[in-house]
Amino acid sequence: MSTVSKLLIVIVFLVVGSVGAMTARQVFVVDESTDIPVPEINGFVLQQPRVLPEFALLDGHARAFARSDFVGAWSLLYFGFTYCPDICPTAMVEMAKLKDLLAASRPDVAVEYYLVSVDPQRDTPERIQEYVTYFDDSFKGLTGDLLEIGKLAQTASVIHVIEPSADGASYEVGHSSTLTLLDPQGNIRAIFKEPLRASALANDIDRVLTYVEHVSNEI
Amino acid sequence: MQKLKITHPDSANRIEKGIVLGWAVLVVIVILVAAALARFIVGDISAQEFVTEEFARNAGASGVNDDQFTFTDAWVRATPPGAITAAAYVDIRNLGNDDVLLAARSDKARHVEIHTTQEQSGMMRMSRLDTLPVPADSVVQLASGGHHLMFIDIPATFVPGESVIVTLVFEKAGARDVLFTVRDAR
Ligand SMILES: [Cu+2]
Repeated sequence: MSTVSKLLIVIVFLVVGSVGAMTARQVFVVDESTDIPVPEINGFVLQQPRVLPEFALLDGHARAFARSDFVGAWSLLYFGFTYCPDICPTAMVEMAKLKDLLAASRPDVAVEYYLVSVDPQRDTPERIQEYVTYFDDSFKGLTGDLLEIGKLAQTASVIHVIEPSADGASYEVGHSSTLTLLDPQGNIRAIFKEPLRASALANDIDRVLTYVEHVSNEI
Repeated sequence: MQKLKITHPDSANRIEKGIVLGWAVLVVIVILVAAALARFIVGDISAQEFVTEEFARNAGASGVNDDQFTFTDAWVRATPPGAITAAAYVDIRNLGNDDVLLAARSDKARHVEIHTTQEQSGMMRMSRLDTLPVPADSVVQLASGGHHLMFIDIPATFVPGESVIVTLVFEKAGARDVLFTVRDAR
């Protein structure tokens, strides 16, 4: 074989190889210009939206609240209880500040804010309504059967336990202190961890929203 | 003549420049001296003000201070309607010997416990501490998300601005009455 034909074979291989690689890239890899990385946040961004199971809860007006009631707006869920003296009020205060920050930075995005009770024995609808509106008029409370709450909590990776107390009358509830972000379809998109601070949350949520907007544009 | 005409305003210019430069140097020196003096004086004043302010705050809002203890930032979180518990926070500075906080009491709660919040197995859990060491020459902070005083079974909600006396009982130093202020943390 002449040197020329050897060279030709090499060139053909190179051309076929690069064309193949480019085609494969187009088929399997999203175009880099629209590909944005999963944002790094103080928590987790779910690359696969997590679908909530069906559940039956009550809102602060003792009306039935189901999975479909999350549809139509973004939702932020905090799991806690109204007799919590330290962690929950701090989280509620931060959530109220976060509401103002997001209303300013993302006025086009509708967000609903919820406290989901992990202590339904004491948190009646009236009680939770009174509690959440102390922090912000628009905040919503969810309570109901502990098993039904458990379905929602479990999907949001929230754990909770009633702590035994000496006198039995008053007790505390240990619980994960996270903020769960649902998209307007009611699927979990991100979970934010302690420390839950309004300014950092507003920043992280803004980046998650941008990310989700990009990802859904590509589909 | 022509040369003179040129050099004369030039030399005048030079003299003027010299004067301006001299003044500028003088002004800079004065400014530097003044700044150093001001820093010395104001620094002193602000330190004094800080001490007085802290003292006033302690004497007025946080209760009794003595040779051993300084209590600062003593506050109770205003409670939402219907609350049965409340959390209170304070910085305890111990200028004396090692001591231990044994108990707390107040007539605004059936009992007051020393609590701590810890992240444990993915949960924020509050637990009761039997005692809280307050080592010599240190500040023990009772703050949101950490240690706190827990008012259990409160007969009435805590209204912002209200004052609450809490008796802190130390192992060696004995009891101290500390004045807490109810604060709206919203
Ligand atoms: Cu506590």
